[in-house]
Amino acid sequence: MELTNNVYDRIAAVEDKVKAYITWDKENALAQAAKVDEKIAKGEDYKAFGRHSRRY
Amino acid sequence: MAGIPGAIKDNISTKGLKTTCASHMLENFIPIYDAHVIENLRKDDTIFLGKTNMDEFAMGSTTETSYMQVTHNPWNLDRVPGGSSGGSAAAIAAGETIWALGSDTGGSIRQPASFNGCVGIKPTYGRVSRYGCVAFASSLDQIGPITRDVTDAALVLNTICGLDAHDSTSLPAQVPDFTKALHQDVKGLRIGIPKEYYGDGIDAKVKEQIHLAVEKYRELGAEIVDIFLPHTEYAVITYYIIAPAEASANLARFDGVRYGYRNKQATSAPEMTTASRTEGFGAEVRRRIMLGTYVLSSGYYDAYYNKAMQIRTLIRNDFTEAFKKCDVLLTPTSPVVAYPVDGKMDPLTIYMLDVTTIPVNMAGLPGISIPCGFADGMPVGMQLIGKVLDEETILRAAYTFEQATEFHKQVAPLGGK
Amino acid sequence: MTEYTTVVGLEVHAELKTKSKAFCSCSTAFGSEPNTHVCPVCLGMPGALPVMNKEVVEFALRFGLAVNCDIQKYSKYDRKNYFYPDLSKNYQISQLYQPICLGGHLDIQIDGKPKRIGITRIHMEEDAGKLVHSGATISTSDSSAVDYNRAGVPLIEIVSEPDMRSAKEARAYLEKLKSYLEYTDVCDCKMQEGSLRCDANISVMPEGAKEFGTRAEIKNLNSFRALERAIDYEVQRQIELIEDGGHVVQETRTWDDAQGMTFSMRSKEEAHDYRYFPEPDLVPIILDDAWIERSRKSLPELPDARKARLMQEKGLQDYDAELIVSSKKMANYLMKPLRNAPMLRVLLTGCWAMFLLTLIMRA
Repeated sequence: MELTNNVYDRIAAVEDKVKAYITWDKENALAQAAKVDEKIAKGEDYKAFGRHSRRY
Repeated sequence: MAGIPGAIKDNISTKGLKTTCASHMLENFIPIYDAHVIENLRKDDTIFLGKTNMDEFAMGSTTETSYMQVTHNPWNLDRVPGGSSGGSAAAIAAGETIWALGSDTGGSIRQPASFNGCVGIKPTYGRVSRYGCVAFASSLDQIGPITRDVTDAALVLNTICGLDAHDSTSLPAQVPDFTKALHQDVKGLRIGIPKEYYGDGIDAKVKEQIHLAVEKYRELGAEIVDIFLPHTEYAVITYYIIAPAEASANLARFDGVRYGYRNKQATSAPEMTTASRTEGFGAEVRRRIMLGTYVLSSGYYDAYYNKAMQIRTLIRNDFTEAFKKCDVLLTPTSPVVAYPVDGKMDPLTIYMLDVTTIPVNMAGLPGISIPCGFADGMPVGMQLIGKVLDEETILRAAYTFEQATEFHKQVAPLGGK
Repeated sequence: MTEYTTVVGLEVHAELKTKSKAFCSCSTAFGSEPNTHVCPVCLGMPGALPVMNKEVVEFALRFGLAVNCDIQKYSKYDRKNYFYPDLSKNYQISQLYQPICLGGHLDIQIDGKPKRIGITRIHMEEDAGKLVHSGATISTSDSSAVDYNRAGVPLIEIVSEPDMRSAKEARAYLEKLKSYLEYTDVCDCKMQEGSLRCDANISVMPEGAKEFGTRAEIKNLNSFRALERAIDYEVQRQIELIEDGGHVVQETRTWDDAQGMTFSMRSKEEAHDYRYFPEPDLVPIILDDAWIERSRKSLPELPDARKARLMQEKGLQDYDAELIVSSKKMANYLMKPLRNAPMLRVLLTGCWAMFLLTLIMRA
């Protein structure tokens, strides 16, 4: 969730200059991120996740 | 891939989320189904940030033909991000997403990846299902990842590759764990250098960076082999016969009847179809549809389309022969670095700049572009071409180079000139 | 007064009674609420792709074997491109260059004598949707709606050689074709529902001439009777035109049943250029000997074979036997008593059957 939020913050910061996106889906993305957080809390193992949380 | 947010090129069908192909024709179109790759990613609990900008219906090399907006290259905001997957590549370079999907018909993943200093892979034709990818040229299109580094690209590939019952052209080949190919070892790897890809059309500064990359590989233990691909000179011409021909039929469905933009003033079906298409499609799309219709028309089919398909076989054979002498081919991804937005280049000049990427689609081979240097402050991309279904070797070669250099760690400044 | 020879060839489209459509898994059921048997594929949604229905190939193969065709072990699909609101992709997936069947034939009886009608080719393709106009015709309507339930339903197109020389022969061929379609259980042949459609290519030439005259294609023939009447009318129209010093134009004409005339729809100049090219989304259809043999073995006793058997085993007359076998349902029903009855009862049953059959077939 934090990761997704951080990415959206970045988008908000630079999108004016870059204009890479046609459509954002922030609501659904955050909802999905929340679900994933729940699964992590329950102990599900997501291998790749760790790599990226460090970058943000 | 779980929990990792990514961006999807806007020609990939996302159920319930607007999919426009950057066209007025589909400006408000919301698909009723997910593309196969999206389904796969959803199963992995991936997060979708949004849809990225592109050239209209994937026709272009700069993302400037988009009906929606112009995307700017994060390395220099006055320059183009390349195309047609320019939005995805720019988003990666600007840190606006962790991974992205693009599509590649004549270079549309690899070229923007090279313009934005990131990694882009066009898998072997048939590796990734096209179901849900709005068709441009059916025998050339492939969906692929655009990412910051080779590792991320391998992770995305793992999720999106595989046979799909909904796509008759998807291959039943087993999908290996591509991350297992990520080890640093190119000792004895035979890297082919095709002479035809290093001619006068390639910018001198770009060539310089590629030569440095070749030397790096030599340093790392690879064996460099001279290769000839004699039919390369026909690739762009035959592509611009086959791709528009298939596109003219694939885009015929956009007539305002079932979905998309409709001219409501028309009083007959033919009038409505004509008006909707004239108003709904941009100039480049209309240009290619007309070209495609022409080469398929009665009296011209044999001279153009049929002939082009025959030459395509010759191009494919060139590669088959080459791979008897080497394991991968190394070429510049693009003859130039990103050029200024609205540089007022004529369409033909832009078409010719696809000379290094097009043959890979024509032969259905896998190709990867990774950053290998800079020229005039803009990223230069190096392309590795592999044998059919041999993404593993090009991933290994790319990973080795990447880990031996620092290019993947560079961050775009987001400034103008 | 010059005598003219009539030359007729028929192009018949038969909807296959497969469970699913040709390129998606939607149901082929007839008569449902509009647009209830549709999906992204048959609606031509952006990004959708066709997937071949194996049952369609099986049906086409079976029928091709039944009418003595040369089965092509390698065939493929092509796109036939034209714009029309009932065609969801604005191209039809068909087979032009390499169809599944070539060179077959059907034998008909004309005035007690047998005649062989050649079949040039049989190919698979998909049907379009159905247009519903607010008025009686397109020109008297201010709106039209499209029902895509029928879009993607599999068809086989059966093209005959121009071997027929009269309306009667054409009718006999179509009746025979219908019975073969029923016997092989590939089509329910309900002309009124549109599952069996027929276009006629008609031309005339002076008797004894070596070359065929220019032909006109007649569409909108919705019954056997319409077929006969249209041929008779068109032949007369062409003869009168020629006698008046004119030339027959190669064109498409429509049969107007109410007025009993054909009218020009479009001329050769306005004819579509279909820009056929191989369908890149589908792989070629490859049949092996084992598959073809399996299909051949699964064929039921076909009309001509059954008729020959009835004549031999039960001593039935040609005409009677022909009538009994011409409808699969009737034949199956009647064959039961026929199996055990002595000669006399056989003949009686035959008479009633003929009477009933005649009524049914004239409907």
